Amino acid sequence: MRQVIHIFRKDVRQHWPEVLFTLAVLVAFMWDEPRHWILRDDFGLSHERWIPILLVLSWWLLIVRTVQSEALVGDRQYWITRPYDWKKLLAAKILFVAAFVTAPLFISYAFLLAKAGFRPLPSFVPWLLWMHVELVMLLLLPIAALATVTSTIAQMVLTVLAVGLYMAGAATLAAYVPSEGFSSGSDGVQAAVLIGACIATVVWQYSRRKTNHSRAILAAAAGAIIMIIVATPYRTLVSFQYPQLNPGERQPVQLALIPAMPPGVMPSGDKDLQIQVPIRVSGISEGSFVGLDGTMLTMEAPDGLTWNSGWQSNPQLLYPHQELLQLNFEAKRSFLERVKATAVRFHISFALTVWRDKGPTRISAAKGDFELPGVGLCSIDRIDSTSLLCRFPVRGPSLVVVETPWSDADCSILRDELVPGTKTARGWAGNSESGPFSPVGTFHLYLWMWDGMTISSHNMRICPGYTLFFSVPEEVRRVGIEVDWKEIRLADYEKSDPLRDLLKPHPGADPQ
Amino acid sequence: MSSPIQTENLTKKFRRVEALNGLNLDVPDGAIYALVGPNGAGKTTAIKILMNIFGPTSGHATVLGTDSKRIAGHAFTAIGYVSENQELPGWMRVDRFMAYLRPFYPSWDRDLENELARQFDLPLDRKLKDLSRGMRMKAALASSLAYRPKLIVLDEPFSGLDPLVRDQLIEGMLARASEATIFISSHDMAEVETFASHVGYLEQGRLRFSDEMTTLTERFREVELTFDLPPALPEKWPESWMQVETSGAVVQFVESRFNAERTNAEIRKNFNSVRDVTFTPMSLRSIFLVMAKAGRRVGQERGTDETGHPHLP
Repeated sequence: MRQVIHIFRKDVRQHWPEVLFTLAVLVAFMWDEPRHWILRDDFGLSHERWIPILLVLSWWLLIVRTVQSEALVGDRQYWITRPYDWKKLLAAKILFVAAFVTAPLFISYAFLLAKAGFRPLPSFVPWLLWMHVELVMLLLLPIAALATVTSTIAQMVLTVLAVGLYMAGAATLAAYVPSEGFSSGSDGVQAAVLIGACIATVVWQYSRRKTNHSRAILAAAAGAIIMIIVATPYRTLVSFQYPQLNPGERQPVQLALIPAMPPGVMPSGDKDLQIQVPIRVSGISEGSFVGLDGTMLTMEAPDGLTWNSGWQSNPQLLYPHQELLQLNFEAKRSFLERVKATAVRFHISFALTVWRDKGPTRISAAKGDFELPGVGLCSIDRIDSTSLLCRFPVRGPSLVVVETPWSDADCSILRDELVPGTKTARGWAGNSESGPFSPVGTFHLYLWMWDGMTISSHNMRICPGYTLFFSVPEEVRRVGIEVDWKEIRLADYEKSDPLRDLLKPHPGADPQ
Repeated sequence: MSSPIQTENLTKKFRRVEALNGLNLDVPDGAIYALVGPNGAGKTTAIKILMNIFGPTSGHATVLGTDSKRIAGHAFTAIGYVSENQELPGWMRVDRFMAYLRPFYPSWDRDLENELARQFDLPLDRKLKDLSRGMRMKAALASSLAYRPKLIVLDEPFSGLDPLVRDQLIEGMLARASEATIFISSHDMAEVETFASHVGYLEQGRLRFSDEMTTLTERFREVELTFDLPPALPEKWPESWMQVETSGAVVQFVESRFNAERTNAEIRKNFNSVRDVTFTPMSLRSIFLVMAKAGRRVGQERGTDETGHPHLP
C-alpha cells in the first residue's frame, strides 16, 4: 500500500493543475445544472450545455495524463526498469481517478439531490452507486484503455478522433440494419464486449506492456461490436420481448385498419415516401393504458415482392375510449412504384406494453414546485404554460400520466373538477432517467386537448390552483399483436391528392 | 554462484530483421564486461532483453539467477540500469527525483546519494528537463547507484558526452565496481579499453568473441617480418595470421594466437631466412578493426560455422 500512496502522491504533485481544472469545471456544473430543472434547454439554455462536455473532456484529460505519466507504450521510460509492482501502479492510478474524478462527482450528486429538494440522501445511495458504475465503465474506462495503448496526448487525440469516426460509421451502419433502432436487445452484449475488452486491455498493458496485443484486443472488440450490430436477430428478440397472446386470451386493445380510411402517402426525401396508416382503436379497459412501443409494416405483393419496415420505435400511449391512431412508415418510392397497381397485403405488427392505473392522485398546481408523490417535484413551465416541468431523483417513473379539465380561460378562472363529458387535457411521459452526470433528471409533461379522435394544444393553459390528476401506472405485461388488412391496390386511391401526385414516376427514382 | 548474466542462443527478430542471432554470453561475477560493436550490432537489443523490456524471439537469458522474462518489480532493486536515451520525468527536480525513487529501494543509501550528487555536481534544485544531456545521464546514473545494485547495466552511457562528463561518469561507476558486476555497451572501443575486465564483440547480431581483456590483448600482435630479398610466399597462410600484406622484402600480418615461441616457430616454418621480426602489442580498437574486417570477409566468403558464428582464428 505504501507504494500505491507514494505513486499517488507523485501523480498529485505532477497533475495538480489538471486536478484543479477538473474540480473547477465540476463546480461550474454544480452551479449551472439546477437552472436546467426550471428552464427548458430549448428556451435559451441549450448553448450552455457545454459544461457537461467540458466536464467529460477534463476527466478524460486527467485520466490520460495520469496513465501516461507512467507510459506503457515504448521502451525508453525510466520507470520500467525500476521496482514498480504493476498491480500497485494500477491501484495508484485507480486511486487517483477515484480521488479526483469519482469522489468529487459523488459529492456533486449529493449536493444536487439536496439542492433539488430530494432527501434523505442515504436512500439514494444504491442507485447513485449504480449510476456511478455505469459512468465509470462506459465513459471513463474506455478512455483509460486507450490511454494505456498510447504514449502522448497527440497520439491520444488522434486515437479518439479515429474512435469517433468508428462510432459514426457504426451508427450509420446500424441505421441500415432493420429493427436495430427499436430493439435494445444487443445493447447489453455490446456494452459487455466493450467493458470486457477495456478491462482486458488495461490489465494486459499494466501486467505485460504488450501494446500490439492490447491494441488487437481493442480492435477485435470494435469488430465484434459491428458484428453484433449486424448479426443480432432483432426480430426474434422483439418476439421474445413482446410475445403473442395465447389462444383465448383477451387482447388488451383492439387495433384494426379502417377500410373507409385508406393509407395516405406523403413525400419523404427523394427516394422515400411516408405511408400514413389510420388505425381504429378500441377495447382498452378502464383503468388501463396501452403503450405503443413499436410497429412494423410488411407489404406483400402477389408476385412475392415484399417490403418490410423493420421494427420502428413510435412511442404513443393509448387511453381508454381512444378511437383513432395514425401510424407513419417510411417506404421506398421504387417499391411503391412497382406494386401500386397490384393488390398489396398490409400486415402490421405491434409491440405493446399494458399498464394498469393504480388510481390517480389529485394535486393542485402551485405557483412554484409541487410534489408528485412517488415521482418528484413539478412546476408549471414558465415559458410554455401548456406543459409541466418535472424533476426526479436518479430514476424517473416508467410512465406518468396527467389529466386536467381543458381550459382556454385565463388564470383568473379556476377549473378544479373533471366533469365527465367535458373536454380534457392529457399528457404523459415515460422511461425517464437521470444522468449520466446529474442524479436529478427532468421530464416534460405536455398537455394536449383530447376528445378521443383529435388532439390539440390550442389555447391550453395550466394555471396555479388548477386540479391535476396524476397517475403512475404499473407495467402489467408486454404483448405482440398482428393486424392484417385486405388486399388493396394503392393505385385505387389515386383520387386522393397525395397518392395521385406522389405515385407518379419520379425523375430521380430507381426504375426498379 | 551462477554468473550474473548468462544467455543461451538468444535471438531477437523484429519482423524480418534479425537483431540478435544466437547470442551466448557468460558475464562473470564482479566483472566489468564491455559489450562492444558498431551501431546496429544488437547491443541495445541484447540489453533490453536482459532487462525484460523486450522478450526474446528464442533462446534464454538469466539475470542474477532469474529468467530475464521474469525480471520485473522487486528484481530491479538489485539492478541499476541506465540508457543513453532513457526518458526521465522531466517535470521533476533532481532532488525530488531522488526522493521519489528512494522508497522503492530497501537498500537506498542516503549518504551515497549525497556523495554521488557531490561527485557529479548535480544541480539538485533544477528540473530534469532543464538539464544538459550529460547532466541528465549523471542524474540517471546517480539514481541507479545509490541503492548499491549488484548488477549495473549501462547502455551506451557515454555516447555523445564531453570527455569531462564521461570521466566523471566512469569514475562514479568504477567506485562501485568492487561491489557490483558492471555490464556496459559501447560502440567506442577506446572508451571501454581503460576499465573493462572482459570484452565481447558483437556484430550483426552475432557475438564474434568474448574474452578477458588481458587474454585478448596478449593474444594479438602486429608482426612485421623483414627479409634481405623479397621472400617466396607460402601457398597457404597459417589460420591465425590475419590481414597478411607483403611489400617487397617486408611481410606484415596480425597474429591472433600470439605466443612468442609458437609464433616464431610458425614463422620459421613458412620462411627460411627472416632477417628481422618485430612483435607490436595492439590496442583494443586495432584488434576490433582487424576482427571486424575478418568477420566481414569470412562472413562473405564462408557464411557461418556450425555454431552460427563466423569462423574466426
